[in-house]
Amino acid sequence: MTIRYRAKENQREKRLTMVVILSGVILLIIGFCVFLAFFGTEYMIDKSLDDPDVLVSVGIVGDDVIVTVYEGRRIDELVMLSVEIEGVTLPSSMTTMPAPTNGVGKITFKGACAGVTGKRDVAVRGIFSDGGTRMLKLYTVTFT
Amino acid sequence: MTRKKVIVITLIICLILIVTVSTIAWVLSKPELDPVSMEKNADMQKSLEEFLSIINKDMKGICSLTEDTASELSGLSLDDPAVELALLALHRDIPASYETWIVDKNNTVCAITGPIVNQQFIGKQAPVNTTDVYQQNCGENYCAITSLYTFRDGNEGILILAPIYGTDGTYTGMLCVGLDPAYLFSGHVDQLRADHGYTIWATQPDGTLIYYEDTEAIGKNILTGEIYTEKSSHNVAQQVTEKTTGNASYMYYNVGWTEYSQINAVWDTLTLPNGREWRVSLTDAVSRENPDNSVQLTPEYLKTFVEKAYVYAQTHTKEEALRAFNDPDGEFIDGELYIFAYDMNGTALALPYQDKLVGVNRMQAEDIIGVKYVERGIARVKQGGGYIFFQYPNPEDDFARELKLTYAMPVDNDWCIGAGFYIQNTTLAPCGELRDEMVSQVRNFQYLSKIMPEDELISLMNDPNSSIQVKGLYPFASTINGTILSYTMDPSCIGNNHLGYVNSYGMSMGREAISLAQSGGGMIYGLVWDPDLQREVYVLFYVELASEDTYYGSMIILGDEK
Repeated sequence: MTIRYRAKENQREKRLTMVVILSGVILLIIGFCVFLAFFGTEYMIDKSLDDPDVLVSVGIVGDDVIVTVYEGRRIDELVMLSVEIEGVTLPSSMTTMPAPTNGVGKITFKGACAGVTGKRDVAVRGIFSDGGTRMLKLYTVTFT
Repeated sequence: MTRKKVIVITLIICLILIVTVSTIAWVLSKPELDPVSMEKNADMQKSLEEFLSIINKDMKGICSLTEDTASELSGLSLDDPAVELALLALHRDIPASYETWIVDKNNTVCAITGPIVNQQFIGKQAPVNTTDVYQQNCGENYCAITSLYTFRDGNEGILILAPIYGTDGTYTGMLCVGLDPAYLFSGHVDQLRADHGYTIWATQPDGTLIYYEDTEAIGKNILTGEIYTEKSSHNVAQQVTEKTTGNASYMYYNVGWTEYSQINAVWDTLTLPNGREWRVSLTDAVSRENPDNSVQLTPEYLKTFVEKAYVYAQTHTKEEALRAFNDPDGEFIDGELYIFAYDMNGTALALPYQDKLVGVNRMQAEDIIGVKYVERGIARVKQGGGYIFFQYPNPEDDFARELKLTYAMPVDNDWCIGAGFYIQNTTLAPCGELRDEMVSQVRNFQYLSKIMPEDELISLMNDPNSSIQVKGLYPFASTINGTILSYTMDPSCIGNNHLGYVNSYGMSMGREAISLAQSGGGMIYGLVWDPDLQREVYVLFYVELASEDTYYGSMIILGDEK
């Protein structure tokens, strides 16, 4: 009886230990994911912007957002450009445009910032022929 | 003759030669001051007298207005609504005022005009003890005028103070006016330049500059400043501070700091109502009207030049880029074009021809009209970049003040670059008096908005025959979201949103005006469509925020077509 009792105790302890270890591992994984989400994304954006595949600038002319493409090692692979304005939801037909035909040049996102006021982040992404997407420019624009 | 003697004689001859050559070189390098003809001296003296009488009249008027307002407020409780109205009226009637405010007997701010952010100072202690300052500066006058003073926002100005008394004669508070000496002088100097070809600088008797066309020099001392150490200019500085009147010639840097040239000056003393003295010097350091025959650049060429520098800045370190931009013989110099760089706080990072200004914060730098061109340029950069206009001395045209088109763009969120060229055949007419009326008109709208409903005021603004209209001015009003409430130049625009309207340079004057109003108000140049002339015209406009939702403005056509 005593032996059986002890065996049962050991089993429960083992299970408890396993649960504690598993919980710890899960917490660690969640923590790591949260860390990656916060700092990794920022790091990736910074790295991406430090060494952009394609060099661009972003400007505002009235209600239009103008993206100018200058140069870059993957300029030939650039297929599309998309623009996002913080807090503004627009149909993709207004925010995604084909890249300039000769690689470099100016793309006008007509009406993309109509009525937009205040200070907002504007992001320009490049979509490449391999299907990959990279952040090319992130700039805080004071619209008014 | 022995060999030793020959060597000694040869050495003596060499020594004599060296001394002679050095003396000749020194004499030749020493700037010679040409005498000034009697006629020219008399003409300068006459122009100075006329100028002094104008400034004297202005200062007497400002003191008189301040005293009258203080008298009006006597007997009123300082929380009476009439107090705010009196302050707004005073701010309106003195266009050169930064702001007007009242402190109570405990030196606590109880009412203030100027930018809306100023309201945060209500209930707080004034930065100086106003009663002490008044005692030190009133002389035998009711109104006190201080020496040059640095305001909270870093602007240099003069305080005008007048005490307010209760009905029983007890001291209840102090009325204060912050006066901008650059504004006070600049309109009249602009006119003087156009009419007579002279300019002005003015100092306190201790040598502190209270006015100079390059407004960044205001507050510096001509006796101790390191840039005034050249013998002839230092002599004149000493004479001006010691003698109340006189004339002299001196050598001084031209506006672009590239060479010395002779400047002839006459000066006299302006005695202000409280006995304070200003030495006002009139000089001929202005354009000799050499025609500019250089090739006119295009805005597209300018933009491409700046974009080339942008690519360089993006593909090199910031230090490498700034080194390249600061090199006067480098690849970023192209005729009259050169790249400048600033951080977003207005500190110069690259100015290849004005290296003394690198590291200096120029946010408050103004052109001759009072447009804060560095501040407006950075505001444009924060919109993503683009073209702006301002007036600047043109080295290719003997440093005459000319309209300059600049293209500026951000490198990243921390710093920006730009370049500019002078627009040929765009001599802007002096607009000093009309500029004062423009500022007063906008401040009158602020005043009227306190005594009548906004829609009634907007109706008055839209009525071309109403009493608030001034000939030559085009008032306007807009919401902060860009909906036009009033626009007398083209009433068909009323009700439309003007954020999307751009001129031929891609400038949205609507976005510019909102940005300017939100930064505390001020002046800026623009190019707008004139429906009567059926073409774009250069304008100068002034805006002030009226509330959190609305701003008021007015503009002058500068009389020159594109």
